[in-house]
Amino acid sequence: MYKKIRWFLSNCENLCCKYHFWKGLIYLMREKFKKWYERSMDMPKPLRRGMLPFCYAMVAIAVVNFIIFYIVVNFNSIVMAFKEFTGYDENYNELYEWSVANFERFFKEMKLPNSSVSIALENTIKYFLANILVTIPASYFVSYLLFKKVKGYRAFRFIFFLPSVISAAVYVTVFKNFISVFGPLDTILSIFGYKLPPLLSSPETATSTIIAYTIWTGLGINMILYEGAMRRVPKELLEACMIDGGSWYHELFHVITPLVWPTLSTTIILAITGLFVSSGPILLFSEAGTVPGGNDTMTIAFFIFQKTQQGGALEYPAAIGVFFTLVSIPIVVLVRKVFKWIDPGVEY
Amino acid sequence: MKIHTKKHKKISLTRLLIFFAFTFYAVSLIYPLVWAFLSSLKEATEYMTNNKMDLPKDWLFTNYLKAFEGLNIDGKDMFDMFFNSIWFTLGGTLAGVGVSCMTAYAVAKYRFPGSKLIYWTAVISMMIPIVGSLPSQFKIYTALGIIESPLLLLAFLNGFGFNFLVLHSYFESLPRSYMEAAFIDGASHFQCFWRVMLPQAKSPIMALSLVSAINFWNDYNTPLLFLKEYPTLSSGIYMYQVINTRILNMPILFAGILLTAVPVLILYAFFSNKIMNISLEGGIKG
Repeated sequence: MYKKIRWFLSNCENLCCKYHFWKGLIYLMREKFKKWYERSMDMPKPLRRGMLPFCYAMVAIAVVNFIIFYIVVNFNSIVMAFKEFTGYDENYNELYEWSVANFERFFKEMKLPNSSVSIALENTIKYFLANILVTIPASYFVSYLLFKKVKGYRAFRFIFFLPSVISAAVYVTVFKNFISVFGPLDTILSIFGYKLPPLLSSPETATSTIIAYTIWTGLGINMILYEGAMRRVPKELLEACMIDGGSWYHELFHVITPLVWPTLSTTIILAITGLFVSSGPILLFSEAGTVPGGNDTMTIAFFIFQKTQQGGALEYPAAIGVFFTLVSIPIVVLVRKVFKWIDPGVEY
Repeated sequence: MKIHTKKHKKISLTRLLIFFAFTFYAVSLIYPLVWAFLSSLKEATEYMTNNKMDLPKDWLFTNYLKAFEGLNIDGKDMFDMFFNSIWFTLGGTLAGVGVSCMTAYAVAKYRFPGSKLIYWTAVISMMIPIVGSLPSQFKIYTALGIIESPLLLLAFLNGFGFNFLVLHSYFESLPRSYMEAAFIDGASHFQCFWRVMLPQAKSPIMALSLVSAINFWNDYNTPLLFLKEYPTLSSGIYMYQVINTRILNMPILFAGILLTAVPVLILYAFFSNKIMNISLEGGIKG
């Protein structure tokens, strides 16, 4: 009897709770709607008529697309990461089981120095460092020179941007043959008595060659980006610096840099937050008859691409993707905080 | 006066050095293409045996005609690839820019429940670098049945990306008085969007379409993963090299490669400023 009463009371409480919850929610929604309605009252009257159906019709495709191709896809990545293939049932349906086996395998392989995963991580960091230590500083300096209006700078601009426009499939194929043994570069260097080694087919030089290519063709786009920002610097400031007898060093670091900082910092932030996606056109660089990503040229992004292309078990690459995405989220937050702290006036 | 000329001379010397350095870099970017062009006019054996930097003996422009049939992947020649490139590029561009236009206009010009949410979702999803969602994409696309078919274009109806952010800031800068004038004349919401506001955003829409078209034309990853039966020019070049490792006819390959680059080069030659300016805001992917 006592038990029954208690059960009834607790249930009652539960019901009440639920009732209050829904009441509260409805109240909150109504308040929100009121607030929105009051705010939208400042819109002119003809704007308000039939506005909601129009607005929702306009954003419907984008929202549905986003839900399927962003939310569902990324949620499915996480689901896949925690699944393990266990075999087939009697109807040849694939059977899966919840497990952390993918992550266990990943950490195990990370500890082996010669597994493709650890090579991939090492190479990814190499691409990242090349971008942040070489491409960005070098292109910043060169853009300053371009900004000082070298003769024919319009033509230079046009040409420097070319590799960003032409398909990598085109440029890499040409470049690959250009640096091949008995290719033109080999011929030019042999005039100086130097023999070009087979750059792409040896593990020691293959990754550095591709990195050199990404730097060489990547200089242009940053260069034009920075130069465009520099051209917006007011001329009076540069003149003032010149009249005060400032050297080029003063002009670049004390006058121009603070003013183009929004552009510069954006490229740096993008480079840092894209740490684990940094890669090069590795697929296109693979020599005929060899495995793409062979010769120790693997990166994380390419590893995931290749596993997807080959088909088969996709749970393991999905787990790697999820792991590195999770690692990079705190980095993104931290980097944006730091840059905000350096210059609070900049909006990203 | 003396000091002045001295200083002038010094500057011009450094300028000369810089000029030469720039010229060297420019030549290093252009010469490989010129070399590929000269090589594309040679005969296959001539290319293999002779010095690769020699000029061609006979300038075989017919190689370019041969390329259309010679670059063949499982019975699909360059005409097919060209056709695939065209629908992939036009469809993808129209889908992406069109949907972005609609979303950006509604979010920028109207206040409705959820408009802020859409804006911030777009901004935040741009900030988070997703490392490799390809395996999941592959599974979902397969489940939806849009793989290996032109239906893949449905995946590009993306209204939350870079295009959205650029167009959003542009529509926001357009004064609302245009809309009011249109409404007074009795236009509906859609007429106002289609007849009044969209024509004013012509220039950013053009620029975004150009950049997006170039990106789709150059994209080899997506067709390689999801459209193996429909090779585009960019993915076709790669597939051709993989299939024909032993009997690669290099001059014809070069001819095909250069033909692939021609449409992009034409666009770039005419609209270089537009393309550069819009790329400055977002960055083209290589």
